[in-house]
Amino acid sequence: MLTGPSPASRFNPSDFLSFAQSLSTAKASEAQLRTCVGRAYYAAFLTARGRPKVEAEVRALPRRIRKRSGFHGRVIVAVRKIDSGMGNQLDDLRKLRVVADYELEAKRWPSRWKKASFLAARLVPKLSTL
Amino acid sequence: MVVGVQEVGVTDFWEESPPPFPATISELTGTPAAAQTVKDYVPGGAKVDLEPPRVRPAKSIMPPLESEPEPLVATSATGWPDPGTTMFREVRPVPVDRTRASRAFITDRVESILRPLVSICLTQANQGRIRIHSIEIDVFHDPEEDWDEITFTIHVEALPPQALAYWDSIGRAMDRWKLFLPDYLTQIIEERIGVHVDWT
Repeated sequence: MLTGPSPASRFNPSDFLSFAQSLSTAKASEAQLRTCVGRAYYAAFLTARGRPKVEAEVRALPRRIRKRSGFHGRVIVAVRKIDSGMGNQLDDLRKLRVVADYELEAKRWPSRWKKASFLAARLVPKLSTL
Repeated sequence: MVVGVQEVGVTDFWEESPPPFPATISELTGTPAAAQTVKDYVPGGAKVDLEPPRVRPAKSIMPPLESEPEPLVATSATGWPDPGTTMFREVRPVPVDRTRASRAFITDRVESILRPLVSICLTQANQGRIRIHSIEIDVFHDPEEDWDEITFTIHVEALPPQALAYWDSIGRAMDRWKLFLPDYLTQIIEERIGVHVDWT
């Protein structure tokens, strides 16, 4: 019989952030920094998604939200309902991650990564308390 | 001695120091206070203390200052403000830029939110002594989820910890503000507007 992973063996999303920080050396390429930004976002997003309060808020969202937005948007709206500041910071990380993955003309990756890293490092522990 | 008016000029009158005013009735009358009775002044009156009453200094209703308040302006040796100084803190206008793309998304309802939002951001910046460079209103499109959102980005001149503390304070102020808003405006704030702080 297949069983789900036990809580102890679950992957910890904050490991994504630790990995990104180890990847972002002074000589990191643009590809590396773009990847790091994405990992920083997922560390925060997956932490938020797994929290009981956030799950409850997502389930309580009206149908029009569920129709209009994907799962990322729903989690962000749910976090905003709990705490506007945290929700907007998570939303900014998502924006950075979308730019990293889709906008090929975007520049200034060292500063963008610094912001993403700083935001995620502060946000993940706060989201863990929800 | 009778002094004629002609003999005392105005100058002489003011230069002459006036005699000390008697502090007590005793000094005025030359009689010891204990020997005086009211009948000396009020016929048939009882004996009263003729010493002048001691006046207590009035207590201040203001709490004591912990330190001397800073002067509003730098004063010169004359006590007057130096030319060029102002009595008020410098207030710079904060430019609020709206991109062309955002205009299609700013309905009357959104507009009714954006104005107080600017006010919240300025108030929190003033309290946290954060310098706002500009505010930018734009639209963000997520291609994966086909999701559009108005982004309200405050560009600040601050260190990352200061900027994040400022961001947190805006969030707290927004949460208090939302309590007084009707549901349809709260929904717009939570679902359609991202408030971001940028210090890079």
